[in-house]
Amino acid sequence: MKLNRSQLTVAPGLETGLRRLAFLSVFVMGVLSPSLATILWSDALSPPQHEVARITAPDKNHDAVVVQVQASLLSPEPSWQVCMVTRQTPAARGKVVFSATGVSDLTVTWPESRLVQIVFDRARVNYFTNASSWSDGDAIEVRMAPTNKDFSYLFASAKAGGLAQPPK
Amino acid sequence: MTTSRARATTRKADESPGLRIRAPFVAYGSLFLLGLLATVSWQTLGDYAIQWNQRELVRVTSPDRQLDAVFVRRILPFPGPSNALYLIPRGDPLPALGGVFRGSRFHLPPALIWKNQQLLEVRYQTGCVDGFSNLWHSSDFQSGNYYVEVRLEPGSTFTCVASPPGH
Repeated sequence: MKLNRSQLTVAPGLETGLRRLAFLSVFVMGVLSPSLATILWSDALSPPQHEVARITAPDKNHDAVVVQVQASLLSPEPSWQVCMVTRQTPAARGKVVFSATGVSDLTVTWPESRLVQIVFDRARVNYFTNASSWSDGDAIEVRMAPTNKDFSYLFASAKAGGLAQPPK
Repeated sequence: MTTSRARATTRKADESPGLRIRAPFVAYGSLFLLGLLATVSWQTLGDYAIQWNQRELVRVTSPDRQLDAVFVRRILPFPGPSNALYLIPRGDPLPALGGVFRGSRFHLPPALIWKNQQLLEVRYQTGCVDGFSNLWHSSDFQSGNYYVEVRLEPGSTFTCVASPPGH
């Protein structure tokens, strides 16, 4: 038996309920759309990255992993990240504590079991946090140690009284 | 006559409750935009709340009198970060976004030292730093051609996490 469109009816109470649900869904989609767009945008354009170095803490519990992130639409320059992970865990599962572009002479050391030092000659630091903690209460202090005593990224102007500028 | 009666029956059937479930596109579009507007309004209100919920602890003007480095503390426990450092044109009110870093556990405000007009040093004994960026510039200030570099100078080995035994 073939039903035509006029025979497909919904009970009035159900119809109202469905309509309200549809309205609510569309409203929620509007509320969430900025966050969803951000996630999709960053995921879709997430550039390839690869582990460059892994330095284990003196107590062998944690690794500091240096990751190089390729240039992409989101970031036209390649960047360098330092991630803190429990030992032998992939960097992707760790916490990024340092992210920078224009980096030269990057070195990561463990002066102590609870202290990581990020040494560099030059860097444009986009993100840094001085602590990394885990759910079990473990925590590591992180510090930056630029070797330059003056500017670490800007270049002082050659002209007297001129403004220091980033590298071109 | 028969044909027109048949057309009338069909029109009646099309207006049945089952087909009215499809609300007009305009209504759905408006609701979507309303949701978007709600998010934007919420964020704007949040920014106002953060701006209102900060107290200035230190303000140090740069040697060329162009910029102020301002360290702030949150007044109420919510919203906004516990502490933050901002660079703003001299005399401007505090913003809610765009700080040099967000902080917490600063028992004392840091010392803000302008080493020169474009290099700011932040010295502190205790404090957790998050979201730090070592380069500041604003498109609203001197056409975006004025840059300031910021350096962190912790005064002790462990400023954020608890010192291990023996320290």
